[in-house]
Amino acid sequence: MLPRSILGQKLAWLTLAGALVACFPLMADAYWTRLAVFMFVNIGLASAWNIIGGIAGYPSFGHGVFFGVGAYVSAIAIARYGAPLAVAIPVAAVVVSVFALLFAPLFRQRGFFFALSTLAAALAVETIVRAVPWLRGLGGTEHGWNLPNDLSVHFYFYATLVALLLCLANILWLLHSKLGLALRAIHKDEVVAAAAGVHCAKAKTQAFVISAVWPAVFGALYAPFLVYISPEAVFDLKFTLNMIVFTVFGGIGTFLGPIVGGVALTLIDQLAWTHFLDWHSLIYGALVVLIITFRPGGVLSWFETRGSGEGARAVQPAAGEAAEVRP
Amino acid sequence: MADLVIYGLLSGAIFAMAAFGFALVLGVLGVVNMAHGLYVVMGGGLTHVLATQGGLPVPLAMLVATLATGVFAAAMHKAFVERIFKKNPLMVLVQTFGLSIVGVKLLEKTVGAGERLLRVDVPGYPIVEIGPVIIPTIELVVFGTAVLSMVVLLLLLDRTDFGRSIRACRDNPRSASILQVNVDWVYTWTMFICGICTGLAGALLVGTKPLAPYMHLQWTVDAFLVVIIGGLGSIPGVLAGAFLYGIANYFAFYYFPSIAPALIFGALILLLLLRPQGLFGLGAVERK
Repeated sequence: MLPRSILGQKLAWLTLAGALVACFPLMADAYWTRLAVFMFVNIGLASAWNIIGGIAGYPSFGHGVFFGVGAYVSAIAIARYGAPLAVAIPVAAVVVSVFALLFAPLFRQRGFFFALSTLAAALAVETIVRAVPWLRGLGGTEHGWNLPNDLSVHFYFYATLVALLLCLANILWLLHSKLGLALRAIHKDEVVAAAAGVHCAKAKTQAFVISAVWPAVFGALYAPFLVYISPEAVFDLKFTLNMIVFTVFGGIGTFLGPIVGGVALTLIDQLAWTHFLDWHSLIYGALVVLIITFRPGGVLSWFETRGSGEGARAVQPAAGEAAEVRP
Repeated sequence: MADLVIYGLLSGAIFAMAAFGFALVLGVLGVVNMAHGLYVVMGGGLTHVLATQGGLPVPLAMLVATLATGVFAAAMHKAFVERIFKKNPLMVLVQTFGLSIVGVKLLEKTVGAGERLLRVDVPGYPIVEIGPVIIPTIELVVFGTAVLSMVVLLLLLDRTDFGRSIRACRDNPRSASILQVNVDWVYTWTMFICGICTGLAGALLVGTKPLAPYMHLQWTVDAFLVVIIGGLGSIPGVLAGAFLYGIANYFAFYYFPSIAPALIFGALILLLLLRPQGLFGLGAVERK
């Protein structure tokens, strides 16, 4: 646990960065603003996954399901019950936090087995969503949800930005709290952590619920942003994998890693789409392979090992953060 | 009923071949290979191309495709996996996933993205009747080939010096290297055998069911499921698990087609929680 003043300082930096990003729509067109919304969602999802996968060391391979369930709860609340978005988001958060508790028994697994269990659970939930007519669509015969398209892209820009800042502030708080300390201890050695008085099951469950609620919030915002959602659009395995890939790309277990990975890969992904549509997935996959093979610590580790110099000073917070998370 | 059981058993042989390589790599190298399904679709796709466009006789096409898949798997290990799997086995999960994306894209660009089925009929005896069940003879030929190659592989692992060095590396790499086993070399050969075995599964499969590159992830998951059902560290367990999985698959999709995957995954989670060592596993498993 670090002194409160450091946390306050970091939160101030976060607010400043958020204020700068908030000026972005003044000089960008609708295309870039829309891309920024996707980028915020990607960063938020990766940061949320990082709590359980990076800090606690439990690689969940089913985290995309919380994003999908959040989107579906929001869509059902809006389309079936006519709820406003301001109600749909908290409803999605509450429903998913209860839903995430159902995953608690899976914490008896570790490593590959935990990864597979969460993957299997996520795939099972997706099949159920596809099979139950009440969840599938308004008419019972439909295969998705149509949502009103009455909010501007600027609204979504600021809404997702606020959600992202809250999510990042939450993670900063977590890193500086007793829970963060417990999670890092669990990552290092769970038996020793338990012997030292860490209530492992409780800490893991809390971390898992926190890391499940934020994807739900982003899913709840994402559904009306897309206007039409179907299982293919929000339950796709790519959401889970992107969370992991973004985090690993930037630097797993660090605060800045998912942010760096989210920004870099969203941009690279977009450039690959627009310029080499046919080879898009190949470029993406090759990048992931190269980063992991030659830089297992992610992009951030580049700056850490370089020592002094201007490059290192520019990312000083990154190096500090990394050292903190993996003491 | 009887037809479900028979077809489940027939498909189980292919599952067994696909899962065998997966279990071998998980046991010896201690990594989960997300590019495993790629070997299945690669073996099948190459066999189809060599047989239809290359004009090779089908058995020769299968042999070439199988060897090519094995070489690919070994090269993949040498170039990428070898660098990181000892330091961080979980990272290999993401790395091989990236490799599977690249491999599938390359396969789609060279071999084609469509579904492929190699139509082969056994001359003279197109079908076989077992009681009321009618089975294409080719299915039985595929089944026989799969079982035969499994037996050869088991003998290879059990009886030869090469197999003994693989098992030594699985049990304790450090003592193996003290005993002058070249551990890195054994790891590469293990990947080669995994590629051979899985590629052959694909080459056999393409004669009975349509196969396309996009199906690779399903095969990775299937192989993982079979290994979990059978239990780690037990090759007969993997075989039994594959046949069970084949039959369960046919039953689930026949009686509850819309929620069959949910049933299978639900059963898997229960199994992992209640009997983590698998149905036929050898006692407690060390969880990494």
